[in-house]
Amino acid sequence: MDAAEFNALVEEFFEERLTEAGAARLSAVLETSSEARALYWEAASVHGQLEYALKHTSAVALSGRALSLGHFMKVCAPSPSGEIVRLTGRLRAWFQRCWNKILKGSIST
Amino acid sequence: MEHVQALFIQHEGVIRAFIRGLLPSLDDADDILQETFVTVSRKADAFEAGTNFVAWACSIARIKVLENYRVRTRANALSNAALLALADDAPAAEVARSREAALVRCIEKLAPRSRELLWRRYLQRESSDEMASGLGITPVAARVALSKIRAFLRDCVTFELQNAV
Repeated sequence: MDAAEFNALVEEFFEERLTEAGAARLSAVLETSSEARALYWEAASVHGQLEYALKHTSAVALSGRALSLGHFMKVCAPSPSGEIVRLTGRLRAWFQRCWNKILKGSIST
Repeated sequence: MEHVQALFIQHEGVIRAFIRGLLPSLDDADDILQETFVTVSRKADAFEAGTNFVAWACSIARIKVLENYRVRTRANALSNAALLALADDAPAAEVARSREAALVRCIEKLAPRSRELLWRRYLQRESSDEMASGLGITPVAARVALSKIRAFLRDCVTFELQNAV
């Protein structure tokens, strides 16, 4: 199995689209090759750690622009001091909606 | 029990990455992580202080992953032998932490649109159809783009670790 096929099978596995035949082929190479297992873990570590890394990536990394938390709150909340407290129960959904708008460029930072 | 629970929380990122390496479904991996936490808590007395907590917790997680595979179809399922070999070769905790720190630096190098794709896939848990709809592209294009981003991040992390001072 060449590198391109191996990488394609691993990607299909991460996306839960691996066929039975593909699963058998990938399993066979992982069972017998320590080099393949090392390559697999290089890719799997990215897949496995992305959620955690994204959560811990700074606002600068996510937006591509320098945003302080205070500035972010001013951008997202209509009235920063009061709204933040009032919005606490719905904070996650609100954060995602606002953040999506920033990423799409429909809110200016 | 509180001591092992504190250790679990401290090392959660490494344990989660181990589980997701063997079980790609984000939701299934979350379930296994919770089941592992419950079992680790129940077996707290069996853990010997001063020994490798991550290795102990991952050995429990490995059993949970194998149990999960037993009830699945054979599509998108690796063989038990492959899973056991992978579990044995999983990166050590300190290597996993180095990779994680490098990954954060590599994410900062991505274009905003690539970060949005990751955000949708990994934090909003969107399917390729949902990502495609949100971004105005086809589902195939979304999967290809995601694959390219992961490949870039994999190579970037490897480069960062090789060039670490």
